Amino acid sequence: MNWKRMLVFVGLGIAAVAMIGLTCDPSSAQQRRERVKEGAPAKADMAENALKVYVPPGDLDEYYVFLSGGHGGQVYVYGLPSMRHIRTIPVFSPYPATGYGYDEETKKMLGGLTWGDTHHPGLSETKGEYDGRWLFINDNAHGRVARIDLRDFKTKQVLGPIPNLAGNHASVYLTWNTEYLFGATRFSIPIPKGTVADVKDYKEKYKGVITAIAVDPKDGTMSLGWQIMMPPWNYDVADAGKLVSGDWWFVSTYNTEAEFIDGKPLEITASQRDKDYIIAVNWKGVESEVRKGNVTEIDGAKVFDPIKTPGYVFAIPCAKSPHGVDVSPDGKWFIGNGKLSPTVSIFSFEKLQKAIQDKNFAQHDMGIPVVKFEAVIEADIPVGLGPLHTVFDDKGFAYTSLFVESAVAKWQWGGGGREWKMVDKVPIQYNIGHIASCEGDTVSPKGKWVFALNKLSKGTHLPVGPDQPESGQLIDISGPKMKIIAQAFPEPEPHYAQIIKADKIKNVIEVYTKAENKNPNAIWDPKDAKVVREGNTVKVWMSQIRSSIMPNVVRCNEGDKVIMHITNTEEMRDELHGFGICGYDINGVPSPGETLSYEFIADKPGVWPYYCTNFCSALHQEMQGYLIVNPKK
Amino acid sequence: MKTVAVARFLILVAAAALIIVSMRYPMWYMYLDSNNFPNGIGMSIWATHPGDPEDIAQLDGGLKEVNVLNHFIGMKEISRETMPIFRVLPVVLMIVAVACVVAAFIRKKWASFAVVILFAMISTGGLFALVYNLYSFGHNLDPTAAIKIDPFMPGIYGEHKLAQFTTYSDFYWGTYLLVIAFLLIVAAWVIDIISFRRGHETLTAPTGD
Repeated sequence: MNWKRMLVFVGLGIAAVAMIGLTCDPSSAQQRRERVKEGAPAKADMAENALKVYVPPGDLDEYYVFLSGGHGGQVYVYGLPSMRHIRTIPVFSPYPATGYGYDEETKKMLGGLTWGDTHHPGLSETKGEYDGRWLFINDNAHGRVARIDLRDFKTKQVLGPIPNLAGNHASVYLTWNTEYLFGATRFSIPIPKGTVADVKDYKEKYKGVITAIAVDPKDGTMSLGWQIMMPPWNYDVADAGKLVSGDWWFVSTYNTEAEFIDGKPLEITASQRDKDYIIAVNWKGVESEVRKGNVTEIDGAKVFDPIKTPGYVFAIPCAKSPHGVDVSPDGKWFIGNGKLSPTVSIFSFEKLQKAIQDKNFAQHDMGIPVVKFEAVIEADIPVGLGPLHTVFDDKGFAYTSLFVESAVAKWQWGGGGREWKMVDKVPIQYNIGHIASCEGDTVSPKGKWVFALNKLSKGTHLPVGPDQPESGQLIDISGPKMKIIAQAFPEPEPHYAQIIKADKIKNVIEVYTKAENKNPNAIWDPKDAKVVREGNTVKVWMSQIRSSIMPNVVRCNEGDKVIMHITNTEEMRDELHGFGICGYDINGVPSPGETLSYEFIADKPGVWPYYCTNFCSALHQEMQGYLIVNPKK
Repeated sequence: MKTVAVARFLILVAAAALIIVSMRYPMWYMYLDSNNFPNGIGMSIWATHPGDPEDIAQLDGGLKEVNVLNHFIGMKEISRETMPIFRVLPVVLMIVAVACVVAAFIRKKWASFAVVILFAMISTGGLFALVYNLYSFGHNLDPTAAIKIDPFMPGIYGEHKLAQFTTYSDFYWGTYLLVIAFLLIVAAWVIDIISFRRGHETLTAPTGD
C-alpha cells in the first residue's frame, strides 16, 4: 500500500470519527433543550410564576381537573394550579390499586373486557353550568359510556357496548341540562353488529349512528335513548348547544368521501374533499319523532331515519376534515376547527336557523341536506396550522390548539361591532391535541388558566426510556400575553379534560356509613365473621379492622366454590384495607364501611396466605390469614 | 310567707328537671390530638353511655376510633357493656330527681337538707367512680397486647401527654347542669334555714286567709 492511499484511509478514518463525535455531541441535545426554553421566562419572572402554581402542603388547589386516560381506560384527577396528580379513577380497566375489576360488582360492570379508551369526560350540567354531581366518559374502543359519582369518585355504571355503534369517539358531550349524553360512530360498520359486508360495498352497506343516551335527572342512571341512522362518514368530535341553541347538538365529520379502499390508506381517501361537514342535529325534534314512534328497531335500539323524516339533521360544509366543533358560551356561535386547514370557521346559529327555514341548501349528500356555506359562515380566522379545539375565557377571547404548529392561538371574539382577530400565540411542547380552560365549555367560563393536553413530550423530562409520558402544560391567561408556567407528565393518554371550581363538588364523602351500606352481606363486628359450607360452596363473611382479618383461617376443599363477602368495618377516613390472596387472582380494597364480594374456584390445593395489601396501621404486617385448600382425595 | 313557699317548691322541681335534662348532655369529654389526626379525635361520657363529642363532624374520629387505638395497647373496650357505672348512674340520678320532687312537697326542716346530703354523697361517689374507671382502664391492660406500655392514668381535667397524643379533658353541660341543680337544692335548704329561724308557721300550707 502506498503512502498516498494510506493518507486517504487515515483521512476517511478521521472524518468518520469526527462524524460520530459530532452526532454524539452532548451540546446538540443541550441546544435542543435550549430551544424548548425559548420563550421561557426570565429568571426574575420565574419566582413570580412559581408562586402562582405553588400550593403549600396543607393547602388545597382551587380547581379539579378531570383528565381522560385514553387507552389506559381511566380518569385522572389533577389539582390546579399545582398540576399535582391526586387520584386515578378506574373506569373501563381493572385497577389493582383500588381493587377495581376484581370484585363481583365491578367485574360485572367491565363485562369481560379489560380495556377501554376514554376520551371525552363531561361533567353534568344544570342550565349550562357544572352542577358537580356526575362525570360521564366515553369508551372509544367498545362503544360504551360510564358514569362516575362525584360523591365518592367511583364508577357507578357502565352502559354498553351500545348496539350499532362502532368507535364511540364523538362522546359524551352532554346537553346543557344533562337530558342526554351522546355517542357517535367513528368507524362506520355494517349494522347491526355482527353483520358482514366487504369494504367494497362501503358506501352502501356501512352505516354511522348518532346515539342519544338518556340520563335520569334524579340518580344519573343512563339508558339507551334512541339513534339516528347516518351515512358512513366518520363522526369525530362534538358539542351540545346551550341557551338559544340548547335544543341542538353538533358533530364534526371526516371521510365524507364515504370510501374505504382496500390497500389505500384512509389518510389519503378521506382527505380528497376541500370541505367536510359539521352535522347539526335538532335533538329535541328527533326526540319528539321518536316519541311518536317514528323509528325502526335495529338490534334493540330505536333508530330514527333522518332521510325518511327530514327537518332535524343538517350538514354544514367546513374546511377540511374539521376536528373539534365548539359552541360559544352564549350559544350563538359554533366553531369548526380546520385540522387540515389553517383556520377556524365561525358559524352563526341564527343564520343556520334562517337557512333551514328558507331551505337554502346547496345539495343533498347521501340524503342529508347540506346548508350553503355562505349562508351560515360568520368569520374565518387564520389561527395557524392544524387547529383542533377551541375553548373560551371570561373576557371574550378564545384559545385554539394547533397540533401541527405545536402552539396555542389566542383570538378575539368578534360580533356586535367587535373585530374577529388573532391576538397572541405561544409555542407548546409538543403537538397539542385538546385544550381545556376553567369551566370553559359552560355558559360562564372562569378564565385564569388554560390546560394544554399535549400528545408528545419528546424528552422534556428525565429520561425514562422509549415509552414516554404525555405532556400537560399550564398556561396563565390572566394577562394580555399567554405564559406557560408549569408542566406535568400524565400517564397515557389524556384526550380531553374538564376543569371545575373545587367548591362546586360538594358533599364528597370519606366513609360509607353503616346506614348507607345496604349490602345484606355486610357485617360490623369481627365476632360476626363466619365460614359456612353449603354443599360444594364455601361462604365466608369476613371483617377487616385494624389490625386483623376475621376469620383468619378459611378451610375448603380443592374444587370448592368460595364466596367471600368482605366488610371494612372502619369508620375512620383513609383507613383502607386491602385483601389479596397469594397465588389466587383476588385483590380488593374495600373503603371504610364498604362490603365487597368475591367468587372463585379453589382449584389449587395448598396453604395460601391472604393479607391486607393496603398499608393501614402499625400492625399492618400482622394483618393476615390462611386459605387452606385440602387436596382431592 | 306564701311566695317563699312557692319559690322553694319551684326551685326543687327545677332542680329535679335539670337533673333529668342533664342526662341528655355529655358530662365529660376528652380530645386527643396528634400529628396524624389533624382534626383530633375525641370521646365523651354521658350519664347513660359513652359516645362521640358533640362536634364530631369537625373531628377525625370519635369513640370507635379511640377504642380501635386502645385495643393496640390492650385496653378494654369503652362501652355501655363494659362499664357498670352507666347502668347505675341513670338510676341514681333518677332517685335524686324524685327525692327533689318529694322534698318539694314535704315542708319539713330536714327534707331539703336530706337531698343536699344525698346529692353530695352521690356526686362524690360518681366522681370517684369515674376516676376509678379511668384508673382501672388505664391500669388493667391486657398483658398479651401488641404494644406494651406502662399503666397510666388518663387525664380527668386539662392537658396531658400520652404517647404521641396530647389529651384535653373537661367537664361539659351534663356536669354543669348537675352543679346548677345542686346549687338550687342548696338554695332551697338556705331558704328552709332562714324560714324556720323566722318561725315554723310561714312554711306551713297557706291557711286560706
